[in-house]
This record gives sequence, structure tokens and C-alpha cells, in this order.
Amino acid sequence: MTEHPRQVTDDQLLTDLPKGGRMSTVSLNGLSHIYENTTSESVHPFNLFVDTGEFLVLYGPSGSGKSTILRMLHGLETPKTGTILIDGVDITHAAVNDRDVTLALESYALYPHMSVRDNLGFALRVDGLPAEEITDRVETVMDKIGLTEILDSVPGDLTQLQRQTVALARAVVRRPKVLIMDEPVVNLVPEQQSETLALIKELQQEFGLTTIYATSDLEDAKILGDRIAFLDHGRLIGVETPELAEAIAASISDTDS
Amino acid sequence: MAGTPTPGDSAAGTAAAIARPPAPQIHTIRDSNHAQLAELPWHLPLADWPETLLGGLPRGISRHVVRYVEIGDEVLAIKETEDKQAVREFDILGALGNLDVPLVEPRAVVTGRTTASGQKLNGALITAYLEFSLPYRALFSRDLARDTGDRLVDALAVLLARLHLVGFFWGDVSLSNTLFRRDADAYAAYVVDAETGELHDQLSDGQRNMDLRIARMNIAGDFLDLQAAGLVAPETDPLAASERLCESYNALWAELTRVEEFSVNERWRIDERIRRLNALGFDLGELTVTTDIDGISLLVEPKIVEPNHHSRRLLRLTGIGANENQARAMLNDLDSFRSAPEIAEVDELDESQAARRWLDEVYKPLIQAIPQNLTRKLEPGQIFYEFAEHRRTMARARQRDIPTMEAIAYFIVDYLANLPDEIRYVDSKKF
Repeated sequence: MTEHPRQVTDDQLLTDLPKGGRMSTVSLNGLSHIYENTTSESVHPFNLFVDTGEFLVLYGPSGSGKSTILRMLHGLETPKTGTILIDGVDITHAAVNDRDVTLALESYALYPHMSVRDNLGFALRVDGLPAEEITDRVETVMDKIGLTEILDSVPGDLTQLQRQTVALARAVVRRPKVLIMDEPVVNLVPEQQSETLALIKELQQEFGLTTIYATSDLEDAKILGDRIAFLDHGRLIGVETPELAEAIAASISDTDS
Repeated sequence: MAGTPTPGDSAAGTAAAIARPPAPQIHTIRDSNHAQLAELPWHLPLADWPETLLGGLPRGISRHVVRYVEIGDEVLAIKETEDKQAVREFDILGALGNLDVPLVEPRAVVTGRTTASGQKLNGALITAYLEFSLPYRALFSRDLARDTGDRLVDALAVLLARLHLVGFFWGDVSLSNTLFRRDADAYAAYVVDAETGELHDQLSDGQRNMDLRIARMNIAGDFLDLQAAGLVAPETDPLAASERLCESYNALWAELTRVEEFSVNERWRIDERIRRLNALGFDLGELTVTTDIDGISLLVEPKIVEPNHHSRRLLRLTGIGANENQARAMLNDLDSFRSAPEIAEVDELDESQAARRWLDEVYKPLIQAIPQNLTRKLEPGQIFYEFAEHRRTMARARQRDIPTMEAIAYFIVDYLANLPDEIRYVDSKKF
């Protein structure tokens, strides 16, 4: 196997841990995973810390383990070893409803007869929030992104980009501790991809949401990430800033070729 | 195949044909469909297909473009989606079909599409239109029964449990992604959209709970949207439907999978468990019974449970294929027929003999009496159920038994003829 430039050891990753009890941090400690009826680990044990409000991108080719990591965070897969801490609380084996992790852009589908306001607010209603709080959250989000004028429109009257904005804002209004996204733009046409990436970055920065985003596109990773975690064959190779991403990405390509 | 150059083409025509982009790859399940599918204008985005091709079937809106075309004797739904996604969903639907899960059947997948100028187009997933199925919106706009919502949600809970039993994580459980067929006084639910789904050997509790979490959210959204469209009363609580789904599912899942501990002297409770499963429409395929180390108690765990208990029994006795609750109603009618004094006192018929006579004297006369133009109203199994209910209502009103042929005549004229055709209902709101 080729020597990886700036390869990061588990110890180095752990030394970056911030001190103190900050909110909405994610700490993955010795986390690994193996799929049933397989002998080799889909994710080898790794440590990773995601800071409050950080946009961390999991980057790697298909089969590198990035989606499996998101699925463990979301509660869809059970780790073989290790723990998942959010704000220092161990949620490794918590029920999916008790994690406060939201998968954004699962679907761009909006309810056709409901106004944008109701499309944004209904999940909060299901979560049992009072009406005033729902109104406040919805209007705050739409105000920050300058789209209050469409609040009373129905989806049929929106542009494609506005529909995507509403679909993304639907996750943001829930104020999850951690927002995760799994290659959400991969099925969009190129111009929609770039518009959606810009929108994701804007909303994440505006609301300071701790976000973990999986992609196999290095350019997307560099546009979005505060840091990029590089994965290859289920191993965390290193974590790097976008500026220093090329060299480590090249080493993944080398080993895959 | 459309666009393939022939020896008679002019030089210009041949040049144009040569300039054409490569034909898309069409993989079909039925060979008979291939030629007709190949002639469709795959070089055009689905949204731009000419109306004449769509046979007057409605168009609509969704996250994907979906159109309907008539090919041969069936209507096909064509969904435009990225190549990889189309192939993936085609494979998943095929695998689920092999596991006997109720769903829309995949017919073909089209990949490698380009426009005439060579620009890449999305692929297409082609499924058969599920005859006599209705989207939930149609049921709310047609059926004003107060408990329609409950019955739809209950049907979805059964479908979800069946999907989870075979290891399918749906990932987008909703009324919108489901089609419903009438099933006696209930509904049977069918998967219509599996693009977010995953098939595993077995689901983890996390995966099942995620499906429930998604269902809870989506069903509340479905009902809120119905309210916004004025199809359900404003006072209806949309969250109650979500809660009902979770409760129905959890109760059913517990009954299907729960490990029970009995005393060795309580073996009758195993039989009770089997009867409860049968009443829920499931058969027990395999049961594990373990005696504890002291030999005092038994641990009983269903290992394989199979749906369609009544459907299978009806099919075995009569050859009639019907939905589960329709089959249950027919078996009840068969039992009544067998125990009627004029049968029971004259001939002591065993079950299969009684089934043959019931088929000849009750079921076939009804189905054969239905005029051709009314066969598009309901499925035969539902026709029988509605007929039996109609005859009961007539008997109560007239305070006498209604002979079969008389009941059939009244049923056709007074009831069936007034129903809307449901064989091919396509809802433009959904698609």
C-alpha cells in the first residue's frame, strides 16, 4: 500500500478534541462496523471528532465506508465496536428517535396542497411544538435566507431551486443537533448540483449547524467542508482542510487504481 | 426498432440515421413488450412526450416525471430517473416480487438514453399499472366512510410488517408511495415506490424504527395535505393517523415475532398462538420450541410466518385467487353454505365437496352473470364480497332469505351498475 502523505494517526485525531462541554459536538471513538454474513469490516476502527457548527465532509469512493458511518450515526446500523457521543452523551445504542440526528434532503417531494409555511412546519407539529414556536422557527429560517415572500405559496408555484431550498429548510427548522447528508446532489443535473451546494453551504453557515456530509466528489468536498475526512476501503486515512486535500485524495486514487 | 436505418434509405436519410445517437438499452421482463417499448421516443425527455402517446391518461407532478402509456393489453407507468437509480429500483422490485410482497410489478428498465443531439437523458423505470388499485387521494375523494383513513393506515401497517419480515427497509413509508386495492371491508396495500429501499437478510431494530419514524412523519404530512385540499374534515387530527400506524404495526409485529414462555403443561397455548396468527391472516411456517434446562417451561418463537392464510386456503379449496379479507369473507360464506339445512341435512359434504358445490351454485353464477361492461367496476373477489353484503341487507329489509339468482339480479341493477369503474384509475394529483 502506498504511503499516504500527512497520514493522521488516531492519537493525532484525538489531540484535536476541544476542551469543555460545548454543544452539538460529535465524537466517534473506536467506531467500526461489519455487515452480516461478511468477514471483512466495512468500517475499520477509527476516531473522529466533529466540532460545534463544523461542516465535516466524509470523502471517498463507493464502498469506502462513508455511508455506513452516516448510517451508524443515524441509527440504521449497529457498530461492531466503539461509541458515538453527541454533546458528550453516548447515543451508540439509542433508539433512532432519541438521537436528534436529521438526514436532510432525503426527498425533494413537497406536499402539493400545503403552503410552504405548512410544508416547513408540519414536522414540528408532529414533534409536538406549540404553534407560536413553529411560526417563529419557520419565519426565522425563511427570513435569514430571504425567502419570506414564498411562505404562503404552494409548491407548484415555486422554481426548482426554491423547492430544493424549502426541502433543505425543512430539516433546518427542526434544529437538529447534527445534520447529515448522503450524496444529496448526485442525482441532480449539473446546474442544479452547483445551486444546491451553494444553498447547503449558505444554510449551514447561517445557522451554524454541525453537519456531516458524504460525497465521492472531491470538488464538492472542497467547496463545502471545513475539514474533509478521507476514507478508503473502510479506513479513515486522514482529516485535512480543503486547501490540502488534493495530495491525500491522490493517494486514495493511487491505491484504488 | 425506430430510427434504425434500412437499405432503402436515401443518402441524406442514411447520413441522418448514422448521426443519430446510439439507441438506449431496454431490458424487459416480457419479450412481447420489447418491440413496442423500443418504438417510444426515448430521445425526448418524458415531459415532452406527445399527448397522443399517453392515450388520454393524465399527467401530473412528482419529484420524478411519470407518464402512462398503453402497450399491448396493459397500461405501463414510466418513471424517469437516473440510470443507476432506475436499475437499482428495477432490481429491488424484482427481488421483492420473488418474496411475494404486494407491489407494482417491474416490466422494464431503460438506460443510456440521449437526445437526438447526443445530450444525456435520465433512464426510465417501467412498471405495470396495478389494475383496480386506487391512490389514497382517490379514496378520500370517492369514499366518504368515516373510517377510510383508519382502514388505509391499517393496511399500510400490515404491508410494512410484511416488508420488514422479508428484510426490506423502505426508507420512505407513506400513503403517497402506496396503492390500495379494496379488500372486503378493508384495503390491501401495495408498494408503488421502492427507490429509497434496501433489501437485507434481516432488519435491525434501528432500521425498523427508522421506517416507523419516517412513516409517522409522512402520514401526518399526507393527512395535512388532504386537509389542505379539503378532502378530510378540518377537525380530523392528522397526528392520530400517524399514531394509529405505529400502534397497529407494533401490535402486529409483536404477535408475529414475540418469544413467549409457557409452562410445559400449557402446550395448548401454542395452538392459541397459531390461531391468533391465522386470525391476523398469517400462517406459521416454522416454530421453535425450546425447553429450559429444568424442563419446566417452553420458549416458543415463530421463525417463519407467512401472510395470506385465508387466500391460500380459498385457492386450495376453490381455485379462486382473492385478497386476504375477500378470501376470509368467501370462506365464511362457504361455511354458511355448507351448514345450511338444505345442504347439511341432505348430504354430509366434506369441505372440498362443499367448496365445489359452493363454487357451482353461488360463486360462478354471480361472476358469470356480470355483464361485460360492468367487469371494470370491481375485482371479482370484491364483487363477491359486495354481493354478499348486498344480499344480507336485502334479507334484513325484506325479512326473508333471498334466493341467489334473485339476489344477483338486484345486486347488478341496483348496486354494481352505479359504481364507478375502478380498473384503471390514474390520479393526476399523485403523479
